[in-house]
Amino acid sequence: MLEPRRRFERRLWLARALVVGLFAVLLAREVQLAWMEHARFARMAAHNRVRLVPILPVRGEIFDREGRGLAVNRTAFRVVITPEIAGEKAQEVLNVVARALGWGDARLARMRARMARARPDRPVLLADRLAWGKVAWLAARLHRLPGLGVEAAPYRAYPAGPVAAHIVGYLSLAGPEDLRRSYLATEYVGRTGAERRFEARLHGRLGWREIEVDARGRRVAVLNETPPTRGQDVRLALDLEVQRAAWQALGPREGAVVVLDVQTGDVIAMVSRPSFDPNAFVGGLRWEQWQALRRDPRKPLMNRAYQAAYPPGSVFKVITAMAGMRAELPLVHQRITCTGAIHLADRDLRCWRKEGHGRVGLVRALVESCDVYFYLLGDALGMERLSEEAARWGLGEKTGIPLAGEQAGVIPAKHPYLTRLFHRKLRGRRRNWYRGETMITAIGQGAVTATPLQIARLMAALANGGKLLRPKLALDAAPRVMRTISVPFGALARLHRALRGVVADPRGTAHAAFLHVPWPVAGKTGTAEVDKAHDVAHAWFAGFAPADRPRYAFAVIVERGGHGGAVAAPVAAAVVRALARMEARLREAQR
Amino acid sequence: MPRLEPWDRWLVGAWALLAALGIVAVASASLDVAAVRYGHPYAIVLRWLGFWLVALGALALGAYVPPERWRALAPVLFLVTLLGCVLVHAPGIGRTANGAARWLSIAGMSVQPAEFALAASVLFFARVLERGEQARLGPLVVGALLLCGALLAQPDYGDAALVLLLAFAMAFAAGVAARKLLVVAFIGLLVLAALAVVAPYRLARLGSFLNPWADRFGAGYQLAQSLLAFGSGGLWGAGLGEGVQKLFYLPEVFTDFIAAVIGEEMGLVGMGLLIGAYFVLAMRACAVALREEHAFRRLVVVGAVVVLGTSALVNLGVAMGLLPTKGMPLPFVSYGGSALVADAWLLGLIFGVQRRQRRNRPREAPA
Repeated sequence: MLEPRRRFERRLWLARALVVGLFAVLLAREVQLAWMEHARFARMAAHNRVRLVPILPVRGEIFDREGRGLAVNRTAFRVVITPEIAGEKAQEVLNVVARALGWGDARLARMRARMARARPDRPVLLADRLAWGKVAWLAARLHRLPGLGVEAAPYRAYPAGPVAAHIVGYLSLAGPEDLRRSYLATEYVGRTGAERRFEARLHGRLGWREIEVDARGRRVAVLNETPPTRGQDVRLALDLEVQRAAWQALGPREGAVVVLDVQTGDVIAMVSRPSFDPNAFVGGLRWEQWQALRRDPRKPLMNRAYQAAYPPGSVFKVITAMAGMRAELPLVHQRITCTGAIHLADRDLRCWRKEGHGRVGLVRALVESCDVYFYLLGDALGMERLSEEAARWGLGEKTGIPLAGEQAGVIPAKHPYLTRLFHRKLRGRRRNWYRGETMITAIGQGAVTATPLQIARLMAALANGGKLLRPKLALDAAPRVMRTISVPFGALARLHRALRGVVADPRGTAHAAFLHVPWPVAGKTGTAEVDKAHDVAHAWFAGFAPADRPRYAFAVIVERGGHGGAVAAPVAAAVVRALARMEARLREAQR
Repeated sequence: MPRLEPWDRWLVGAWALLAALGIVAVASASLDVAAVRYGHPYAIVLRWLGFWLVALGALALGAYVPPERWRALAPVLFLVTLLGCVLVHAPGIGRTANGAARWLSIAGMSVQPAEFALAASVLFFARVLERGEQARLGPLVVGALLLCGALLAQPDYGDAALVLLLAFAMAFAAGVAARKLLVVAFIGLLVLAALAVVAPYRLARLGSFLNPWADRFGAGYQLAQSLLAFGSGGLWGAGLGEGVQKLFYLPEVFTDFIAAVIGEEMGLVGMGLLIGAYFVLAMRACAVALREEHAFRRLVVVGAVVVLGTSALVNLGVAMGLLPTKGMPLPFVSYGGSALVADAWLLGLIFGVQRRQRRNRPREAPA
């Protein structure tokens, strides 16, 4: 046993060694932090100072030409809870919310889990897009529900729903591509239609809040705030009532309607059916819903007005007629006799009317849509002049409508063998069919295709004296004439007379449909054969109104609808009636 | 009154350095916060200087009142402060903040009795242990466990652990047989282990110190910010008043994390001085204890060193991410009146012992 004094000394030396060791560790740590890792920490500290929190701007709204809402912001209510404030009563509060909103056990459990995962100082979203009626009960009891909040939040609504879904478009949350374009992950981006076209105008500018945070990332002070700028509203040239009339006239059939202002190129209506409900996109579609829309064989997401090209059928005869007049072929001043068919090589080329039209000239051939006359005219013109004329009136080229995915359609090349090379449909046919190809192209069959928008624009150009317009969506955008087409003297008047006859002449192919319209209408029917064996054809009607002083041009197609005069023309008639009502309203409004 | 030896220069120097570092750091760290919280940038510094005046009084008290007088008072002091630690729960005089009842309101001032209880324990334990091997350990064990229990109830786990450590360290220094010590240590460890199981969130806290970056804005936030402060300080620091971490990023910066301010603004040099000052203080006090013949005085010095040194080591270890987050004051530096006064009193006790020692220089009468 050691003497106590000695023992004390020994133990204190031990303690001293421990003290030396511990202080050495501290010093080493300080050297490590402040010296060896100084650069890294200094960089991190610099990032630490101020946090920028974005403030989302309110998106601009889209209206139609008469001020009706097409894409508007509505206010809904969301219920949030801040776990930290709720504290011990969190479960109790959650149960009250579940009762008020009628949640099942599964939903309640999910929200509990979400709350447990979340940062306690940040509000946790419990329910979104609720009507006031649903949250009113909760809002009145907030003082007894610590941590709970009922907030108003805007969401996008499309009052017209599927009627104008394609042209108005829809939004979705920013994806990886948008994030690279400096969107935020919580922002919505216009995906199609006007929402996409006018994204820059509608979006507005982000605001920023510079904040300092404390221990738990909570805001201590707002250093600076740049308020967001609300997006601008956009007024479309579209008229919702005309759009609706066209929508209803088309009915459940697949097809499209385009209405243009013949002087400005304003798109007054653009309907495509089948459609979809853009309101379903607002909260985000479920994967199955999106896949169902994409895989639907009827292609509801496609805007048939300009994303689909169809054989124009007899509507194309206006091009053939114009080419004939431009070439000053004797045939345009002569009459021929239609016997229901002409013979070429080993085949018959038939007229749609088996018994024939008898003696027909250019105008009568258009009024009654005689195929034989145009076979002969096309044969006399040749493919080159036919193609040139089609190109002159804007077929085979995009109209330049400021929307994505436009189809250009096809006009057969000047030389048929090139066409054969490039169009699978014609490949493998017998070589001596060149002439026949030209002849069926002259009546809008064969390789030629066009979008309804191109056809409507063609009609507008016929109506306004040859000005080929660029279709535009916004009412305030300046009209743009792409080019002015030179037209031989008297040719337009003659065409107008013919197109007026289609409707006005008792033997005109669309006469019956337009008996009850307030305006004189001019137009051309088309019946584009798709499946000869089963007598399936796209029904077309395109024209302009009023015939004497044209203000509107239109094109209607009903896919596999049948005869243009019987199927598409009534749709056009409904559109014309709606246009007349629209003018009356606008006059009323001016007064 | 016998003639006293001069104040030990090393001890005084280290202590003055700590005082200076502390006042500068508290001033730098508190100007902005005080301006926001009290509407006056000097509100906290002025209070801190006020505490220092009181602390100087406590130091003088510890140094000039003879150790034997303290020895006589020890049981009373211990019981009074123990009672104080219990009274924090009493309505009217107890005050609760941040979910812990740690304060007493006495004459309009908030007092943290735990700090004084620790200082009183030093005296009480020293008196119990002064007979060394022959000491009866009953009062020691009972006293330590009572105080420990009272602190756990507040709850104040840090100081509770410190009481146990103090009792163990003083028993060790007093020469209690190793066998007995091992039993005591084992019981202490069992208590701590049981606590960790009963309050599992403490384990979660333990985890966050190992990797504060994993949950940088959650549990690891404070430590991450503290490390940023130390790391960004570099060799010479950002300069006095130039640190940014104190600007609300680091909460409780002028109390438990004051070292981060020194690290950031005075860099490696400032931290070297700080650590060095504590080291000198501890080593010099150990030297005083080694020289001392009188067992009670010796143990008082050892106990004071254990309280001050452990506090400093734990505080710095926590701030630098070496130990789990545990609020413990940095003696003489971090803002907090009760701790400052109690620590000054403990230092005063060391000085009281030192100044009553005969120096080992030969006392030949020149003539």
